Amino acid sequence: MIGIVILTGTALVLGTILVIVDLTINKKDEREEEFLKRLPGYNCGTCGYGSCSGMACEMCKNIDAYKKCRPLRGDKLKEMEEYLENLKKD
Amino acid sequence: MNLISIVTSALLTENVVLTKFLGICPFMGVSTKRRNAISMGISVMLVVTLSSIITWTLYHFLLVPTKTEYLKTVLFVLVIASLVQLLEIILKRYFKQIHDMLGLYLPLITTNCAVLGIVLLNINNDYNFIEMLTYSICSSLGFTLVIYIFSSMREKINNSDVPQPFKGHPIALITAAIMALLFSRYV
Repeated sequence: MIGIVILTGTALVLGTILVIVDLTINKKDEREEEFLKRLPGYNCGTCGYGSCSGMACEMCKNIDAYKKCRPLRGDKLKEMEEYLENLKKD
Repeated sequence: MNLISIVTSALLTENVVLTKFLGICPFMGVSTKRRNAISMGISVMLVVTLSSIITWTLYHFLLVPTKTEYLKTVLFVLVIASLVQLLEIILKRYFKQIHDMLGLYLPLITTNCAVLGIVLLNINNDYNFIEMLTYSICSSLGFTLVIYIFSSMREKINNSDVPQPFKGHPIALITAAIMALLFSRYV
C-alpha cells in the first residue's frame, strides 16, 4: 500500500512541476483562441493543417493562412477579415 | 584516495560505454559529427547529474525509511523521464538549434540505459553524497569523452577508403570494439 502511495505521490509532484514549467515557459499566443472562435470549426483538414486549432496555430505565424480555409465563407469570412483588420490597426 | 579511484575508474577503466556497454544507442547514433556528439554528451551529463542527486535523495530519505527499496527502479525511471521532458521543454524554448540538432535522440535519453545504470550503480555501491556526485559527473564525463573520441574517428573514417561491405556502421562497430579492448586493458 505504502509503495503505491509513494509512487503516485512522486508522479503527481513531477507531473505538476512539468505542467507549471511548460505553462510558464511556453506562453500561448492570445490571438490563437480568437482565431479559433472565428474559424468554422468543422475540423475538415482541407487547409492542410489537420484541424481548426492547427490552422489557428499556423495563423499566429502567417496571418494570411486563413485564405486556405475552404468552408470559411460569407458572414464568417467577413467577421474574420474585420477582426484581422482591427488587429493590424492595433 | 577513495575519490581519486572513483574518478579514474568512472572516467577510464570502468567507462560506462566501453566496459559496461551501457548507452550504446546514442554512442552509435549521434557520433557521426563531433558537434552532435558534444551536445549529446552535455545533455546526458546534465540529466545524469541532476537525476543522480534527486534519486539518491529520494532513495535515502523516502524509500529506505518506508522500507520500499524494491520501488527504486520504477521510481528512478519516472524521475529520469520527467527530467528529460523538462530538459526538452527548456531546450526547445531557449536553445532551439541544439534541440533541432539532437532531434529524436533527446527524448531517447529517457531510454538511455547509461543514465539508469549510473543512477542504480550509485545506490548499489553504497556511495555517500560526495562520492555519488563524483561518480555520476565522472561517468557522464567518461561517456562524453568516449563519444567525442569516437565521433572524431568516424569523421576521419568517412573520408578514408573503406572496403564496400564495411562502409557505415560495420566499420564503426569494429572501431568501437578496438576502443573497448583498449579501455578494458586487454591491449
